[in-house]
Amino acid sequence: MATDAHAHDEHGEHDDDYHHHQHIASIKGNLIIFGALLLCTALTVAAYKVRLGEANLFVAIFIAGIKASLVCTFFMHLKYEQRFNILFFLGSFLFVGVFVGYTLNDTDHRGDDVQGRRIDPSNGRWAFGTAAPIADEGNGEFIQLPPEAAEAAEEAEPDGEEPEPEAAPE
Amino acid sequence: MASHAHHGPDYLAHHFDTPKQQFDAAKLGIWAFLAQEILFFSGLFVAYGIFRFWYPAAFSVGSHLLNWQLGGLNTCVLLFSSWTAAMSVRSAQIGEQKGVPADKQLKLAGRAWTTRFMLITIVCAFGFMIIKYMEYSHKFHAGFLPGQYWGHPYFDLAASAPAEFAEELRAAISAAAYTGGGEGGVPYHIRSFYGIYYVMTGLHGIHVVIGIFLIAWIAMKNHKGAFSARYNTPVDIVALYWHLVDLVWIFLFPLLYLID
Repeated sequence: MATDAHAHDEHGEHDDDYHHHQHIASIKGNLIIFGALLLCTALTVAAYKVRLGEANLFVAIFIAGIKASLVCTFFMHLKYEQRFNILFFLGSFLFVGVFVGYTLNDTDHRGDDVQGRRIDPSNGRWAFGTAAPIADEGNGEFIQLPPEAAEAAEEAEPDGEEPEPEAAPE
Repeated sequence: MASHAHHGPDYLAHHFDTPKQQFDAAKLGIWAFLAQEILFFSGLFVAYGIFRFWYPAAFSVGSHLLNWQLGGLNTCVLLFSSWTAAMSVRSAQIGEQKGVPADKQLKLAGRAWTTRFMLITIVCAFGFMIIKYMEYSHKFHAGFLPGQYWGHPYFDLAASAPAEFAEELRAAISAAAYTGGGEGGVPYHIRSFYGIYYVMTGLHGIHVVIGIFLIAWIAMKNHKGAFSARYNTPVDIVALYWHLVDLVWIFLFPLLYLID
């Protein structure tokens, strides 16, 4: 047991195997990070005020990402953390990316669920596996589909793009 | 050979060989917990993403109903509390500077400063919750509530919305430049936006309240002299938890309050 070999270490001389070394931040360093975080907050409000439209979401996430990196790296001392812990923590973001990416790739391309039927909002056509003359505009108004979208749906259906589950038994 | 009863310093639990092993285990534990917290919140962020892409107009109008000034103020309060949490860790790591000449001593360090920084962090946490309470109570009163309770103050389905409901809604619709459909020109799924708003900010608020208790507990232990430059792991760990609470809010603020 390492314990016995180091039983007298508590009063002074010790080696690296026995005691951990912590990174101690400086007052100035912490203040700079705090200032940068406030600056980024002002920036994100400014980005909102200039009304970026479509880019609003991505600019907001980008600035929040910078702020989050500052907090993690310096306030949480991630920069000086053991590599395994860094991997563990940052790994969670990777899985969040998979979760968000795959889910939104699905939901954003199948349109809204209206009585079991869906339309692809990116092209106004029927999403695969659906056929009905109504769709949701996203505002709670149910409207008739334009005839060309209905035709497109008719064409898409028999192609077997989305086979019935029981038709694909493997 | 050291006996089992005292095989190292007081703070070393008997199931660890060395303080370093104990420290590393504690650190791995908190990082695993924080990774879990990220994944835990990510479910809500995914729900947010799905509904925002489906109903962008409802999110825009819903967001314009929120008070971004109060949200921004709360962001600053939390960022400041994160700074004080980081400072409490620094102070605890430096510890008491006995035997160091007064002019050579590091400032804002030592047991008393650790307690002070933790108390300031707690005050900020209360400040955050008070501002949050002001926002919530106004929304509850005006009837900006999720799902079927939309337009029904205090979740009372028999009650009808007060005058501010229509006034603020009209202002938000014009600020968001919304001209689409919906009953009374209001995007129907604004109800879903408020569902997501309350769950996300509510869950975050619960984390803030838990943080108050945790920091108070560790501050009390610190005040009683449990920590030193050698052993300050609990201060470190409770601060890491608090930074995570800050981290979540950093994303919640622009995603909820600052939608174009």
